[in-house]
Formats: sequence, structure tokens, C-alpha cells
Amino acid sequence: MKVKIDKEDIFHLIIIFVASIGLCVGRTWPYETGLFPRTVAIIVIIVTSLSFLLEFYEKIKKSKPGKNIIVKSEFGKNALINFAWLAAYIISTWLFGYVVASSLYVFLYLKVKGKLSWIVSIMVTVGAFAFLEVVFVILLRIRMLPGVLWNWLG
Amino acid sequence: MLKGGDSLVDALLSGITQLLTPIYILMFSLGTIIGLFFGILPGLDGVTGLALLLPFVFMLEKKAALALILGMSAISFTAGAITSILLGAPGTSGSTATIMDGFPMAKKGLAGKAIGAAITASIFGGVFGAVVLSLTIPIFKPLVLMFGSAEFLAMTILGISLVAVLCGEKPLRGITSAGVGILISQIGADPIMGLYRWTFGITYLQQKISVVLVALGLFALAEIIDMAIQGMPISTRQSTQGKFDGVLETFKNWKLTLSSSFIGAVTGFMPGLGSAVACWISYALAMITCKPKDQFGKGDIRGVIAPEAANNASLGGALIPTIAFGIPGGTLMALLLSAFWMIGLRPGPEMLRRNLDIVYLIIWTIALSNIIGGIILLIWTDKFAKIAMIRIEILAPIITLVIFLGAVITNMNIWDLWVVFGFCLLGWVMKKINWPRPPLLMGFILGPLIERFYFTTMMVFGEKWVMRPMVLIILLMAVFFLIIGYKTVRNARKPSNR
Repeated sequence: MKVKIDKEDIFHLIIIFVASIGLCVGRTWPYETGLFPRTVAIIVIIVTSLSFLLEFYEKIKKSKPGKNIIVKSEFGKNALINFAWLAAYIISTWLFGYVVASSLYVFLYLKVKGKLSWIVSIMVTVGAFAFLEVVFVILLRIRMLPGVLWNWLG
Repeated sequence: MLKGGDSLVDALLSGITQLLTPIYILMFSLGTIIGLFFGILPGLDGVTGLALLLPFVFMLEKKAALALILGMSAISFTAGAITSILLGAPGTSGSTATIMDGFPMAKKGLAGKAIGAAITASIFGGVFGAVVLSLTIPIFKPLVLMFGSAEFLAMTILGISLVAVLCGEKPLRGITSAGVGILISQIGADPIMGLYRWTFGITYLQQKISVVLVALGLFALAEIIDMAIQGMPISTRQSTQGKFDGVLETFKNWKLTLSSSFIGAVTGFMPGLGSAVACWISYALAMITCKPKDQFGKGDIRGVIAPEAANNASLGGALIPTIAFGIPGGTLMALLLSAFWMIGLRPGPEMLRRNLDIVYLIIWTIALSNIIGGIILLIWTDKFAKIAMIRIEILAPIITLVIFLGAVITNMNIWDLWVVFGFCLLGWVMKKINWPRPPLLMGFILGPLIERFYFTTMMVFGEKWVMRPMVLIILLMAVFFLIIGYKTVRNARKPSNR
């Protein structure tokens, strides 16, 4: 019997696991604090388990007999790269502050990932920087997220 | 100033006269433009705009200040639709449901039509909310007293029952999604004892996660990342239908516009529910009542009209308890109330007796702000629509910048960005494996409300709360929607409907 354990099944199992952990953590809470989240967590575990079993049963029904259960992985390299860009943006915001990190991110994304010309990359970056600096820092006087690096450097 | 005993008509006319003074028009236009700006940027809304304007309110004359803050507050929801449609990023929490069909329409090259419909529906909803507010003035007190915590609880149950409609073809997945949304909303201090739940000693988690962060990550950033992965622009097709097609569609669907505006006004009237709930309830009801239903979620214009009419109408509804009793129904109303006090107005029964002309001035301002702001946006619609055609390599970093700006602007906390990142990952995975995302957001919005109203209701009414006439009516409606939702899902699963 050939049945693929795919991302959908894994997602079911992750929800059951996380809700169970939440339920365990919340078992010592007082009645008023714990009643609602514990009730919802139990419902989520039951409904997710039911959904998992039903979908798995449907898959077994549709599968061909005589093959083994296999685990299928489809997580793409391209997706990883894009999420890595986002993570790098957040880390650079923490390091350099929001305005500098945003300008850096826009420029590098356009130039390195987008493979756009120097002129377009610089023009868009300058536009983004001017928008943040003029509208938010100068006009609205909002103190944007500062970077920890500037504190370290004094 | 009008004294008690003056007729409603005198107060109504006095309101118009004051509205047409040059200083009022100037400040009100300025407020409208500021509101458009705050509404259009994801994460920023009327609340942010009002918070930033409050320090300036002191410096202005009473009516000039009133014009500025009301012009700004009334229009922010209208502008919020633009980014929801073009970028899949809700401009305000009241525009989260607009993404469901607005963004797919932009992908199909119908951004202009969607924006045209959204703006027209918003104008209609805003004016409807103002009309409801003005009509209910004579019956403010009995109307507000009709609704207590039991009715609010029933209304939240009605809201969560609508998840059945938003589930898609696999209802169990939808229920799970809503449950996960409720569980996530429980992170932080509990509303009864103030004890921390699932914070794991992390200070950041002690405050509740903002719905804006969830919506930005789950929908906006997840969509942009998905397009960046595929290397596709938002739309590959030139816009074939313009804003006036959208305007016409709104008039063609006048019953939907009217009913959604009514839902918006009623939901807005209930403290704590607000525009975020109003837009989802009206969206789900549109799915139930409209035929054919198979295009909902894939770019149906009615899925844009319903939430946009509702979110604008909710402001008029929310002002009823604020003006009648000085009880704010949400953050925006609380700030508005603070602004009223700062300029020397005392909302409550006293204001209805002594300053009825001001009450009507507020109503006229809301109506006019929606009309003028809507016209300004309509003029620019075709320009906005072209954004959808820009190459994703250029658009992705700029939209990401705007999304992150929306995430950090309120608290200036780096953890907000990680929360958006986390929800983006969750939203992208859910999109890829066909798990419905709207129930998660609905659960997240309604979870804390259900809990709070449940405990208040049990303390006040005990088990007898279900026997209250208004509660019974609302709960019967919830059962009705559950049945309709089940039927909708069942019909969608029939092979002939695929």
C-alpha cells in the first residue's frame, strides 16, 4: 500500500502536538484563567485528530495496495532563500535600526536578488529612504527602531 | 449653542451651518487627507492617526479640532481597502476581509474595478452609519440599554458560527483553524485574574499579540513571499475594467450594500466588536445570501462590497454608545472620547441635552468626510491599479518594507517583526496545503471577546442569560447560519460545482 505522509498530515500532527503542550502547560492555572483556553485546546486536539484520521483514511482508500507508506518532502530551496531574506532583514533591523536596515534591504534585494541595474536599485533605495526619513522621522517625529550596533559603538 | 428643548430640526440645521464655515471645511479637509494617508499604510489606522493628532487638539479652537479628528477618523477605513486589494496587506483591521476577494481580483487584472467598488461601498456604508446615528438619537437610551454583556456574548457566538461558511471544502480544517486562532489569542494576560498564559517568561508575550501583526503576516507577507518564490507580479494582465465598473457593480448590488451597512452599524454599536468583526460577519453573510457562491474567495466583487460597506458603517454605530453614555466601544472610540474631553465636550446624556447641534455636526462630518475622501480616492484609482503590474523584484522589497513599517510603528519592538515573520511562515504553509486562513483570523479576533463576555455574563445573569429575548434571537440566527454554512460547504463539495 503506497500512502504519502505529506505536508498536510505533518501540519495536522504539529497542531495536535502544540495544542497538547499548551494543555499540559495550562493544567495548573486557576479555574478562571484556564477554563477557556483548556476547553478550546481540547476541542482543537479532538477536531484535528478527527480531521487527520478522516483525511488519512481517504488517502488509504485511494492508494494502491502492495506498497509501503513513504514520507514525502516538498519544501523548496527557493522558499528557504526567500524566508532567509526576511530573517536577514529582521536581524539587520535589530543591528542597524529600521531606517538603515530597510534601505540596505531594498538595495540588496533589487541588486542581488532582482538583478536590476545600479541606477534603478539606487533610485528606488533613495526613494524608500527619503519616504521613511521625511514622512516618519522629520514630519511625524516618530523615533524609528534604533539599532543595537550604534549602542555598542557608543 | 443650543439649549435643551430646542427641536431636533433646529439642531440638525445648526449642525449644517457650522459645517459650512471656512475654518471647519479647511480643518476637516486636512483631517480627511491625514486619514487617507494613515488608512492606506498597513498597520497604521485611525487609532494611530488620532493618537498622533491628540497633542495638537489642545492648540486648536473647539470646532476646528472636532473637524480635524472626525475627518481623520471617518475616512481611514475607506483608504484601508486600497492596500488590501492591491497588496493583500490590510490597511486597517477593518479591511482584513476585503483581502479575500479584493486581492484575487487584483491578480486577475481587475484592481481598478475592485477599488472602485470598495470606495463606493465605503462611501455608502459611511453615510449609512451617519444616518443610523442621526435616526437613533431620539431612542439612544432604550437602544443602548437593550444590549448587555449577554447580548454581546451571543453576538460573538454568532460571529464564530460564521466560521462554518469560511471553512472551504474541508470544514474540520476550518474549525481547527478557528480554534488555533482562539488559542493564539489567549497568549498573554488573562482578562479575569490578570495571570499570564503561555508566555514562557518572555516579557513581550505578556501583552496581547496585535491583530494587525497577525493579519500582516498571515495574509500580506505570506502572499508577497509566495509571489517572490514564483517570480510572478501581482497581476500579469492589464486592467480591463476600470473604477466605474466597480462603482456600477456596487449600485447593482444595492441590497448587499445596504444589508452589509446595516450589519456594520449594528456590530459597531456593540462595544468591543468593532470594524474587524463587522467586516467578517458581513463577508460571511454575503457568502450565505448571494448566488452564485462559487466565486467567493477567488475574486468575487460582492466579497469586496460587503466588508467595505460594513467597516465604514461601523463607525456610525460605534459612536452611539460613545455619544449617548460616554462609553467607548473600542480603542478608536476611547481616543475619540479623550479628544472630546480635551476640547471641552462631555459626551453622555448632558451632551444630548445641551450640545445637540454638536452631535449633528459630528454626524454631518462623518457623512461628508466619507464622500469627499471617497471622491479623492476614486480620482486616483487608476493610478493605484497600475501598482499591480510592477515587477515583483521591485515590488517585493518595497511592500515588505511597508509591511514591516506597519508592524513596528506602534510599539517599536523588534519582536513585532518576528511575530509577523512567524505568521507569514504559518500563512504561507497554510496557503500551500489548502488550509483556510480566514477562520484563524476570525478566531483570533473573537476569542478574547467570547471569554470576556462569557465571564461577565455568567457573573451578572448566571445560566439564565440564554433566556433573554434578544439573546435567543441572536443564538437562533447563529444556528441558522451554521445550517446554511453546512449546506454551502456540502454544495461546494458536489462534483458539479467544482
